[in-house]
Formats: sequence, C-alpha cells, structure tokens
Amino acid sequence: MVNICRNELKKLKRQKTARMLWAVGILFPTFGMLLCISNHYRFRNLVGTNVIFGSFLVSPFLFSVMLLNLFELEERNGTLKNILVTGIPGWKIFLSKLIVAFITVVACTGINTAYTMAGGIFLKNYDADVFHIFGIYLGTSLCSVCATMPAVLLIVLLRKRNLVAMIGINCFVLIDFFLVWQLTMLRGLGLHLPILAAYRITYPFTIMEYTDNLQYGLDMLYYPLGKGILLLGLTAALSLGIGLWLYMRQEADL
Amino acid sequence: MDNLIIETKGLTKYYGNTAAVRDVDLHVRKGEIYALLGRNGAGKTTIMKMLLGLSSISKGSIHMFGKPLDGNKKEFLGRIGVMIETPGFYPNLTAAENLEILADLRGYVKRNAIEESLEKVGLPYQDKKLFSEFSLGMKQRLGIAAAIIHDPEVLILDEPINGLDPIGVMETRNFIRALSQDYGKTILLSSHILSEIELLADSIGIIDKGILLEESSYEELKRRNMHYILLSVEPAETVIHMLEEELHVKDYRVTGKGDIQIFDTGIQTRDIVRLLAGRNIYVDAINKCSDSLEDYFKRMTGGEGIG
Repeated sequence: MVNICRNELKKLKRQKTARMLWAVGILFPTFGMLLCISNHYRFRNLVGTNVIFGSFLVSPFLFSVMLLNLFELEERNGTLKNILVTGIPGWKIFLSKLIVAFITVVACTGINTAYTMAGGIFLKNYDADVFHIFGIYLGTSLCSVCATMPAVLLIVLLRKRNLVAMIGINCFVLIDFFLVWQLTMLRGLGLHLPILAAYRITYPFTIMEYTDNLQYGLDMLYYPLGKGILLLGLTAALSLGIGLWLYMRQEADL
Repeated sequence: MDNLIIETKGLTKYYGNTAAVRDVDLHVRKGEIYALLGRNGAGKTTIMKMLLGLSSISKGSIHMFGKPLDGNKKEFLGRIGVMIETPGFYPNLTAAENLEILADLRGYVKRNAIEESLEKVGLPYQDKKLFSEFSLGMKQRLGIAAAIIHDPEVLILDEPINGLDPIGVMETRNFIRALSQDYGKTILLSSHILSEIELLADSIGIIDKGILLEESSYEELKRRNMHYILLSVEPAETVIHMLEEELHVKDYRVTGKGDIQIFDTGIQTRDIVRLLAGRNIYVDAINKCSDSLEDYFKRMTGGEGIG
C-alpha cells in the first residue's frame, strides 16, 4: 500500500494542476495572517480565521480537487489499464488516491500552522504551542473533509467529464463553506447537515481559551458531540462505501 | 494439447444485446507467435481485455497456463506482459519515470530492468524528454518496454507496430521474433498490417464481427487455403456441376467475372483438363494461383478493408 501511495505522489511530479493546488495551499494562509496583523487582532482571531477559511474552505477544496485530479489523470492518459494488469485490486487504487489527497490536506495544514506561528508573533496573547495549533487545524480539517466526502461520489461518477466534475465539487465545497460562514444568518445551528455538524463539534476546541462549560452548553443547546460524530462518520463511511462500489463496477468493464 | 498457454472455450461478450465477441475458441501454444486478424471493431481488443480481466466475460471460459482464470488473476498477470490499445503513460514524466511506477507496482522487478527494457526497444535511459514530447513511434516503443519490464512468459500486444516508421517496424518485428525464438516467449498479437503478420506469425486467427472464422498455423493456412486453381471456362454453371459430380469438388467460388476458384487441395489441374476435354468443353485458361494473406482475408470476411 505504501508503494502504491508513493507512486500516486510520483504521478504529480511536474503536473500543472498539482502545482496550482500546492500554490493555493501555500499562499492562502497569508490572507488570514496579513488580515489579523494589519487589524491588530488577538492570536485566537488568527486561529479562528484560519479555521474558517483554511479548514472549512481550503482543506475540502484541496482534498476534493486533488482527488478528482488523481482519478482523472488515469482516465485522460489511459493509464488505468496499465495499473490493473499488474494485478493490483481496484480498491487499493481507490484507497491510495484518497490517502494521497488527504496527505495534501495534512501538508497544507502544516503550512497553515507555520504561517500562524510566524504571524502570531506580531499579535496579542500569542500561544507558541505548535502542536496545539496543528491539532486544531488538523482536527477541523479532518471533520470538514469528512463532511465533504459526498463529493467522492461526484468524482467517481463524473471523473470522465472533468469540467462538469470540477464545477460540481467546487459548488458543493462553496455551498458548505457558505453555510458555515453565514451560520447565524442562515439559522444553520439546528440543521442536520454534515458540514454544520463538523463545525459545531469542532467549534469548542478552536477557541483558545476553551472550557468544558462551552462544550456542555453547545451539547445542551444545539447538537450533542456524539450525535455530530455519528453523523459525520456515517456521511464519510457511506460516501466512501458507495463511491468504492461504483468505482469497482465501472472498472469491471474498461 | 497440453502445451496450450491460452485457451478459451465459447468466449462471449455482450454489450447490452449486442455480441461483441461470440463463441470464440482460441488456442495459443507455448513459444508461438499467434496473430489475431480482424477489422476495426471485429473484437480483437475485447478478446485481449477479457483474457486480462479488464473486461468481464458474458459467457465461456478462459484457461491460462493450463488453469482456469477465475480467481487467479494476480498470479497470471505477473506472468503476462501487456500492451493494450494506445500505450497510456503520464505525460509529465520521462520514459524511465513512467517505467519506475510500473516496476514498483509489479513489486518484484530485477535491478536494471528499466534500463534493459528501454535499451531493448531503442529508447535512451537517461533521456530527460517527457512522454508528452514523444513521437507516436516512441510511445509505441515505450509501451513494448513496459510490457517486457518484468520478463513475462507471455506477451499480449495489441497493434504493436502501429505508428512505427519502416525501420521501427523492422526492428520491432525482429525484436518480437527474437523474444519468441531466443527467449521462448509466447506472443499473442493483433495487427492490421497483413504483410507484417505474414512475416511474423506462426499461427493466425481470423476474426470478423466477433466470430473467429479460422484458426490455424500460417503454414497450414497457406497450404490449405491460399493456393487454388483458377479456371476460366463457359458455361460456368455446367462446369461446376461436372466438377461436383465427377471430381467431388466441394470448396470453390465463382468470381464476379465468372471464373471458378477451386480450393480443394486434392484436385489436380490435369484431372480438370482431362474431364473438360472429354466433355468437349473449351478451357480459356487454367492456372495454379497463390493468394496473399490479404486476398485470403478479404475472401474470408467477404469485404475489402481491414483495420
């Protein structure tokens, strides 16, 4: 499996789409950093901004577009048959692409953390705990990516029509982000949508001065943590299960 | 028949209600070069895909290396080198990088395998040229290099000389011949270049509209079907009746010009002349003729083009 994942990464060498995605991942955190420094915000505002824009917009975008890119490059170049005749089962190919897309998210989360730590020096109430910040970003990104997993179905179904798939998954990510961003305005706290569940269950630990009371209050008022995790887990598991089933069916007749 | 490497029985493939391949019984023997001949859409690639498990089988069975294919895909695929349709590689990588990926996936390729296979097909190992900058011929060579990288016992090559220049065709032909003769590889290939098939194949399978019309060794095919007697005589109908009655001729054909082609190998020219002279029928011309594979193919498939 490690070999297959390494090969998936090799395929991205000198690839324009991959370079553009990396550029987004590398440059995007500068937006939050410059915004907070110029407005003399607190350090926790920088973390909050990067959670909203980084974890709930950039991470699902990177994950789904990278995944589409990985599936689509096999279709475009007719290379899937080369892989299948080596005897590697379809589910391993599917899983390796998911892992590589997630590696991209983790790497960009690391970059986001580095920017936050660098930018935070200029802000009030700076907390130099790298692992804490990285944990916040990774946790929120993971939940946000899980909530975006239905995009995998779109990718599997539409991977031969790259433009349609690209428009579809970007619309999905943007609608999700809009719901999170305008949470209060859209009265989204009571909605049973995976992305809102992801936001609600990760909200407490994105607050730097987080206390147990906050989680308790959220659990009582809006959405219990356990229920949120169940909703996210089911969303991810069902999307991946159905996605894999569709992929294997399509692959049976190349 | 225990030296059969590939054997299919009643191999059938349906796409909806349309049969792309129907009841194909294929027999590829160890060490031979077997060529599948057919027009575009005849079912050659579909057969190859079914052999490799890239396409599901609607009916029939496949035996490889004497064992049924079901459930043993991984074991068989390690012993087979493949080039199906246009060779597909990553355009942003070099030839060596592309082969590295495949070698990695195969998992057990020996050291220097990439360098050796590139050398065999005449592509430089250290070249920094990306696959997207390759000519069609170079792409085809890389496809063959990818097929031989793990030193397989069997090669399945779909149109291996497609797009190669004349020198490339000759080199590839010699290379394929050497793989069979010197290394004992079994090769199943398809090609639309009939002259190349004539020079290369030990056995030929002619396929049309998904049906395997004929399968035999090239020598046998030549001996049996590609030699015939051409008889120009009038009236053709009366003569045919006489030939059937007196000489028991069964395999014949009347051309558009009214000439009779007799394919029965047991019939001698002198017997025909003696019979017709005895019945006072004047013979305009009688010749022993030899068909090229192309003529034979046209006769078998009842058409002109081949793809």
